[in-house]
Amino acid sequence: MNIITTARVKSPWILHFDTGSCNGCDIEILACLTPLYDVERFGMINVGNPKHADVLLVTGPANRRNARVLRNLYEQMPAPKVVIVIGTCGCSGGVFHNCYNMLGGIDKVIPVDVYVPGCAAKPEAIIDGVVLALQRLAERSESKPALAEALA
Amino acid sequence: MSARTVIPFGPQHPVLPEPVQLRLTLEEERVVEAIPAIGYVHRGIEKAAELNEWVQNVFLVERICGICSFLHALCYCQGIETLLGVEPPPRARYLRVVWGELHRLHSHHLWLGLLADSFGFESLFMQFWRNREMIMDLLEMTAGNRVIVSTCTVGGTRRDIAQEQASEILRTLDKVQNELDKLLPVISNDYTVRSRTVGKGVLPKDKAIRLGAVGPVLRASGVAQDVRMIGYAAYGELGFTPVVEQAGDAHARLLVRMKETYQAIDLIRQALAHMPEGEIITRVRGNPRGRTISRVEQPRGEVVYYLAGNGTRNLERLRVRTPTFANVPALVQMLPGCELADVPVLVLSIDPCISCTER
Amino acid sequence: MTTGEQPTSALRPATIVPPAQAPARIENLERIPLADLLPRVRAMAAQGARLVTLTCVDMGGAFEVLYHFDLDLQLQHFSAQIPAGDKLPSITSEYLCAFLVENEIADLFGLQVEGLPVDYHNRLMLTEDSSDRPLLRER
Ligand code: SF4
Repeated sequence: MNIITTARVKSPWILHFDTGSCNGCDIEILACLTPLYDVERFGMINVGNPKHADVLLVTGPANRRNARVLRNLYEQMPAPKVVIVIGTCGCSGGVFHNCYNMLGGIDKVIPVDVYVPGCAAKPEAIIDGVVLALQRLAERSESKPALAEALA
Repeated sequence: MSARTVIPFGPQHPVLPEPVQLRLTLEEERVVEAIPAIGYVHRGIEKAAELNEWVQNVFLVERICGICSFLHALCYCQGIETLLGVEPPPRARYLRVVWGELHRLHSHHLWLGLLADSFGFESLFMQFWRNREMIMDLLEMTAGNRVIVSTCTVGGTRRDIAQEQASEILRTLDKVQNELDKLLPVISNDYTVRSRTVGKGVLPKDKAIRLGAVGPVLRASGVAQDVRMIGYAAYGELGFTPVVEQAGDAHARLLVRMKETYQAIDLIRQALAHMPEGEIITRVRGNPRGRTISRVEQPRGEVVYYLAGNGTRNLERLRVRTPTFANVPALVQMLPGCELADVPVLVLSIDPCISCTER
Repeated sequence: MTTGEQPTSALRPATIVPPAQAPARIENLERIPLADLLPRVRAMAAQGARLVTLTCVDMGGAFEVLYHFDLDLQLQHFSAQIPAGDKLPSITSEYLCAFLVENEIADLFGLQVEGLPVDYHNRLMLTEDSSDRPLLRER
């Protein structure tokens, strides 16, 4: 790993966005950030600005109005980036599969790297998912196309 | 007259875990108008509830809001029970109080933390969330899941609370109360907390009623209204008086919720002490017919379900009016005249739950 | 901490209750003609009632709109019927807080509401590409 990759993987910054979840998974993400689970020990910080973020955490299935916002946020994030979907409903639509205003899983809108199922996904599962995503981030950070994309 | 600026607050904003937008019109630093733009998490649950069978809907309504999921299920099940003409057994009614109040307890902890975060009091935020984990452990112990407990069902509850679990709950509640005792002086007297909340977003009593505010927002304006007073589940048999504050500002709302955490602890203790032995579920037959209104007090206020059944497995109509939907007009009236920097605090002071609002 | 053993009684309910005979009904529900709506709402406002919400029901060709009020935790409901295509008068002159729910009804049922102070033009909940008037019953 070169120094940039190391830096990235050791302090991934997280952006959280809710696209129509029931809040169950959102509060579990917040629980991850607070003292008991404390993902900050892995160097992760929750940021509000997509331009600073490396990891996008999405909860909930994509709603029609939200899909545009989600796409915007994704495009504003600098490469390399990874997307993690938290919760069954974001993976596939889940319990909201037959709601008229839903597009289904997040992968209908943006490419997804890691799926964390569970309704609500437990904090342990979320941390596992993020660690998995960091491996992706490392691979991406080293590969040439990502560099080219970042420079373009 | 100075120039007006329009600032979109949201949909993606650091203090809001959920997407909602307020279009703020500003004159210098003061807000003159606020228009909410919602629909970012509208799913269409009311329609899906007509497509599902009424038994399946329990799981759907639990996911209207993950924070008060048990209370949504409770409200729905009470409505269906009225339509079917069945009574849950007494033990189930007490069990419902226990889980309902555990939800209120964790929801208020969550909110108290988020409010502290909204004015940058990080350590208070972390403290509340650390304490909240004790309650989440109780939910996990009794129900097997942390957030969506899914223990309420039509006719009663799906799980029981065994004796050892009850004593574990009591032990943990003592610890929670101990921690709350340390935080109460901070909430009521701390300089930072007071200067960011006292006198902000005042909602007088008559206005609160006229604007249809519910729950802690209404009670902080001096109206003693709490749906638990009508005595659903076992509340009628437990000693209970609503928490009321007179000032009507953000600090009063803070105090109401803080005191309600103590009240929730007390109610759980009472319910566990008086819980009768026996069945926990009544089996039901047939399909719901007729229509009814069901109400439950959630952490954020009164939730109202309108249910209509026609004797088939599908409901004819399910309408859900959630507390935040009722509190948004009050918020819109509170904002004009405040400073831009106070907007996050005021928005949080109604404890917004957007996924509820839009369903 | 582990999840405790569940007593088996949870799985074997003993009491079986036959379905109720008469369908359930809403208490304190009063049917009123649409022309009486505003005066009645004004009277409720004068008594200091709180508007709980509005419920719209599609009856096929007509809508039933229920107005729910709360006075010291006692509920009072009015029900008005309105043929599809007619305009519903807004009650926001008495209860400003109704603007959200009236917009929602306009959005989800396509029922036009007259006199809204803030009109979202059927875009409160839905977007351009959402299904149109999703809560109408399919016929
Ligand atoms: S997966 Fe379940 S708990 Fe999580 S947001 Fe979706 S519905 Fe809620």
